[in-house]
Amino acid sequence: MRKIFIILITLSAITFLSFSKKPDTPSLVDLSLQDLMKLKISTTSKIKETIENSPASVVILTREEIRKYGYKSLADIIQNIPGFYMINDYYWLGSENFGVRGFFTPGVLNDFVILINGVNMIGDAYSDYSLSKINIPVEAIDRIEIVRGPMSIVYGSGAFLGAINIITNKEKISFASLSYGSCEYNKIFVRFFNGNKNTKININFSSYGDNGISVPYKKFTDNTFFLEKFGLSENSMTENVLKYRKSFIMSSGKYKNLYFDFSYNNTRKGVFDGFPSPPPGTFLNNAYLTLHLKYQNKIKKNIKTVLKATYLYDSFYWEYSFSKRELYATNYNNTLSYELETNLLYLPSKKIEFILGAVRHTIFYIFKTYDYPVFNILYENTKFTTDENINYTGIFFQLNYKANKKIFFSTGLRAERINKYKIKVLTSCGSNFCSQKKGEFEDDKIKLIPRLALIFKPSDFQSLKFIYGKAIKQPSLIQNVNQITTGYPTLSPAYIETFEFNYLYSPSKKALLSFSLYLNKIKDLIVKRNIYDPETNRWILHSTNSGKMETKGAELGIKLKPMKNINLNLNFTYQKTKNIEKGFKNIKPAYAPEQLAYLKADYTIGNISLAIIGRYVSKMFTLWDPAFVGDQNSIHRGRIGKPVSPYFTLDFNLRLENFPVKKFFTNIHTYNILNKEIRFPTTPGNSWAVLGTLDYGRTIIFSLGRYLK
Amino acid sequence: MKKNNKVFLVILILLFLPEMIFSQYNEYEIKAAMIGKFTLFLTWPKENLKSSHDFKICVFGKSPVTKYLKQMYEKNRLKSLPVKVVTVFSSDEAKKNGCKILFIAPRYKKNMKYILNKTIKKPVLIIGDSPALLNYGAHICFYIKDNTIRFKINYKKIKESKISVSYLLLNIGEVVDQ
Repeated sequence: MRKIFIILITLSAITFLSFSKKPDTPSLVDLSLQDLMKLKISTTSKIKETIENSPASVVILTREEIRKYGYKSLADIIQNIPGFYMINDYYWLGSENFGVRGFFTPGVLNDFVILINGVNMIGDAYSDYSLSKINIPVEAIDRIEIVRGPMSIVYGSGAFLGAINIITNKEKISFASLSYGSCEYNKIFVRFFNGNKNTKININFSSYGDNGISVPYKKFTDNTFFLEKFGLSENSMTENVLKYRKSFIMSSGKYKNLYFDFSYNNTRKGVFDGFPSPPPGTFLNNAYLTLHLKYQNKIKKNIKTVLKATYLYDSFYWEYSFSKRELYATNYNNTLSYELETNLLYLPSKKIEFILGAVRHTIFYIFKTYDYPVFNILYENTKFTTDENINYTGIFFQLNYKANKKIFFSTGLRAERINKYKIKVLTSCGSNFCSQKKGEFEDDKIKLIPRLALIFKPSDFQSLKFIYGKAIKQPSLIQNVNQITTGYPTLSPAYIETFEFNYLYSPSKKALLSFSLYLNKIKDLIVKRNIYDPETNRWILHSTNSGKMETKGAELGIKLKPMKNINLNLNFTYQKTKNIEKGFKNIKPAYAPEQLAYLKADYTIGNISLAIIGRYVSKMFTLWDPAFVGDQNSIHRGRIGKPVSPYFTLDFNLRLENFPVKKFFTNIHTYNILNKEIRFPTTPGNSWAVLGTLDYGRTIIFSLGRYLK
Repeated sequence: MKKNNKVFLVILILLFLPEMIFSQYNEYEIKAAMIGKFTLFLTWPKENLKSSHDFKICVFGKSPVTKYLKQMYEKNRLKSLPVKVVTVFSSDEAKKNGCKILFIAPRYKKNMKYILNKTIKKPVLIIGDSPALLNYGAHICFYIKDNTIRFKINYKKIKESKISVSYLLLNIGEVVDQ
């Protein structure tokens, strides 16, 4: 694989240099009027300008690209973004989770924020952005903007490693489609748009699912004794226990200066909640609703205000299956919250842009109850609640200054705070009341989050960016509840500090080169550790703010148009992650591949487009747990599972417009066309799967759709 | 090296062959080219052309199209006259310069009333960069459909300006009557 890397980089450099001449514009003059009307205009100039002028590391995907490459899900899009890699552990609430630039947090997805049309899709109990609640179908996406790097200044806690903003209400198209494929994949999607300049409405609806992967349990673990406890053997199949069904409806509208967004997601998904699932399987059921209103107004020619209000409802529970009837478990969570935000945009001159914002997110109802007698009496018939609202308050400002054509400067600061709140944890044993524990989250100090960026454009086709930023990740509500349950103090936020240098070179419309160097320093990371207690001579599992990591990396991106109607994108990442927490310095970091590579190529001729996506992820280790004994003679002693081999995978997409007849389209997508075994390293939640978990093998999806207008 | 990797590598090498024609253009390049093509289907009054030293294409305000118009036409001729591309900032300037074509961006739609007052019944082809400008009296307006540039023609308004339009142009564009 290293040889391929070197060859690809050399070829890219040679070809890139050959594209360094600007094209001769007057050739258009030789075309007829009818031929001029057939030429496709480039959207990359607007995107290129957005990327060049943005004081952040930005990747943008348009509807056209998503359509061409035929991504099958939001997870599929994210895992193909340079710097991102997926680990799907089929666990509980997390499941599809992502590492970014060499850093990964097992458990829920909470290292970057996800917004849909600017609405923050947070789950309040775990401060998460699990894709089980943000199950937006790819057909609904008009545009997706991915900002890599700490973005807490704008989005607050949670935008630790970046932010993803998904736009679904821009393109004026209406269509419907049906899909069917491997593993009984089936989907129906409808999109409707109507409107004019002042009034518009947009509706996206989808229902889809499949039966999940069907592989023998011996692919996950070599511990047959453990499987037998759950009534399974090594040859028992996972057929149907990992199936899922997702329903999604989203509506956006506009009337003059007033905007609204409504979304409702419903997911039922088979998971492994810490153990294998005998049939019929253990299922997560999640309902998530958001209601959002926005009012924007131009007070004066150079002053614009925005007022936003959002209501969020999040409810999830699990249905467990065990081989023995006397065993049972329940877990139910419900939160209600609202968010108010106001922004002021002030342009005192053409060179200065000033943004001031304030946001208040209030969780006014929390209810969680769980009963796991099979695991531990501590978790027997437990519920927790609070007597007061939990408020996250943030104020931020950002100043963008364009000194001249060549220099652009951006700086900002956010102040954020959570109020103190009390938590009550009630545990009862059978019909008797066992205990009540109380705790308080006390860290209500104001946290300051700065940011600085300098963009220098030495010429029309070059841009240099220097970016410095910080971000924080506050402990989630449940993390603090768990601390109280186990008798430990509540947690403090984790911090990340990023230094990044980025160089963009675009000598012509046919070529774009991007090179980045970055350094991320993470401290006070919340980690779940078995900590040895000498007083009791026991290992005790609880969370602490003891994590400390550092990642350094380099990224090279190349975009080319080597031939007529061909686009080519190559990205290479080399990164080194170091765990600098005490006692871990000589341990290779977990879930941190050193090399990543991405390839995207498409060819369009008339109504036909062909595309391939390639992805390479290098070896990954699992978590090192000092309490884990395992095989004393094994080199992996202390690791909760075996390391996973590097993998390379290729997807293929064929799209036919106006086929089989006009106004119809047909799409054939093959995921993992080489049928490679893609293995993810096991995570603490499913450490029984010592061999790791598996992604889908070769999957073919056939879609047929019709444009309605 | 495994067989699959070799095949993959060969495909990538083939893709790196030297460039051929590329197809995606900037929106304003195409519009600039189309503006010149329109003149092939339009006839200005003879007296108007005879009394002119050059064929002026005026652009109202700052627009990306100016650069492309200059590149494409300033060393060429249209209607047998040398071409000059000029930026104007007022309706008076537009009248003073004797523009044959006046291109207007949508942000200047409020100036349209004054421009029309100065150019009414004069052979000045007014091209708007948005279909909304048809409502303000523009003769031809560009719009984008399926990522390609199209245009609409207000036939009645062009006739009033004394510029003749070939039926071929009416067939290619979308005719609106306002």
